[in-house]
Amino acid sequence: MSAFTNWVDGEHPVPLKTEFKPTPVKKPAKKRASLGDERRLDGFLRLYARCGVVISVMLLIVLLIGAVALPAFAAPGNPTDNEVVHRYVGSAEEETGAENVIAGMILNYRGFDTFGESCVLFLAVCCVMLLLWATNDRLRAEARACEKTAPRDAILATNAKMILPCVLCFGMCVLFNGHVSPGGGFSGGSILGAALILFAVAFGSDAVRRFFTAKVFNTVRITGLLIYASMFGVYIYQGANGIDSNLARYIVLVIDIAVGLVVMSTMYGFYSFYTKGEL
Amino acid sequence: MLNLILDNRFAIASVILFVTGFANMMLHPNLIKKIVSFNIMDSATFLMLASRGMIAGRSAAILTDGGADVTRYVNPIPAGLVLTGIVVSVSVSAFSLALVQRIYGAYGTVDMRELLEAMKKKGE
Repeated sequence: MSAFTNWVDGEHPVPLKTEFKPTPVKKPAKKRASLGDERRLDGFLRLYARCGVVISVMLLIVLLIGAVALPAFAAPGNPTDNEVVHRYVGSAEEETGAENVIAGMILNYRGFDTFGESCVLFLAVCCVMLLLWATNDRLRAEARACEKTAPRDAILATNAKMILPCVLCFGMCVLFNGHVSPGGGFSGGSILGAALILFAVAFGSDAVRRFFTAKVFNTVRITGLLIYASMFGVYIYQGANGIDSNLARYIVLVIDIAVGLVVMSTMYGFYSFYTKGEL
Repeated sequence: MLNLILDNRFAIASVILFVTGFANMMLHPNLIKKIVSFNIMDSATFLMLASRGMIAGRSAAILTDGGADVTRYVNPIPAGLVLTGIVVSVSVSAFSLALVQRIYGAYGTVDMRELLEAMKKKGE
């Protein structure tokens, strides 16, 4: 708190270097390409721009004709309002145990689709790790040193202390009530991930590393996917639509939490790899 | 004609957004801006899907006291599809941004033209 009052009084030393700057890439001395190459490239880019404009205009015309020919917006009895929708809305509660039809639909009827979606997130974070993991020891030491010397922002830290519990509670609420109210694994997981990111920004990633190391990160996201796969396997094995409504509700809840864990670790992983190149 | 446009205002708005994103992605030389345009295209698709699911005078597909009366709720399927789309769009953006970061590390630029020049020089 004293740091905060000092800051307000203007006695806090103004930090000169707070952000991590990677070592600048040495640009090779600019050697002009030969004149013929330059001209060929210019010609190609001009042709490319013209083709791009033509294709865009054609696409606009075709899509506009299509859009105008669509059935009117929000009219009841549109072709999209068909027996599939009636089936989902009509029997979602007894078959999936979820009052939130969308949650019931994506986790039960379309469970494979959502499983693929979680795998996409998993793969995306794997690719980002592969591309951005700072294997260079010097670079990593530089980033860590810079983070250590940078002063913590007093305003951010004070506010984060007040906001974080609310964000965490809200995230949990959205995650655990996904089957009865708006929300679910994806939205709840993103809110929890945002809370983790806020924590890392306000108190430094060393504070996050106390409980969320690379090992925990990998464990959480792999366990999340495995829980999803096994619960969905149980659901299919038990006879899918024929199972008891209470069991189905339980399965939806557990799958939602598994998805939330995957999404949370993915969001924090993206943030961490982009800013520091490691967890 | 005006009626036709008003009836499909969300579809037309999403078409315009989509083409804006598409043209930007084709024509802008900056790689980061190409990714931003790609996200605009994604949003246009989501707007289109979400507007298709709307039915006037009905509420979101979360069952309340009235029970499973089909005529009281909007179409839940586009909402599920948009959810999938958002996740895929986030993943693709993250992956392409990581690629751009590596490209910047290797060539020191994210400009299409300079990249083409640099690649040609490297090939020689």
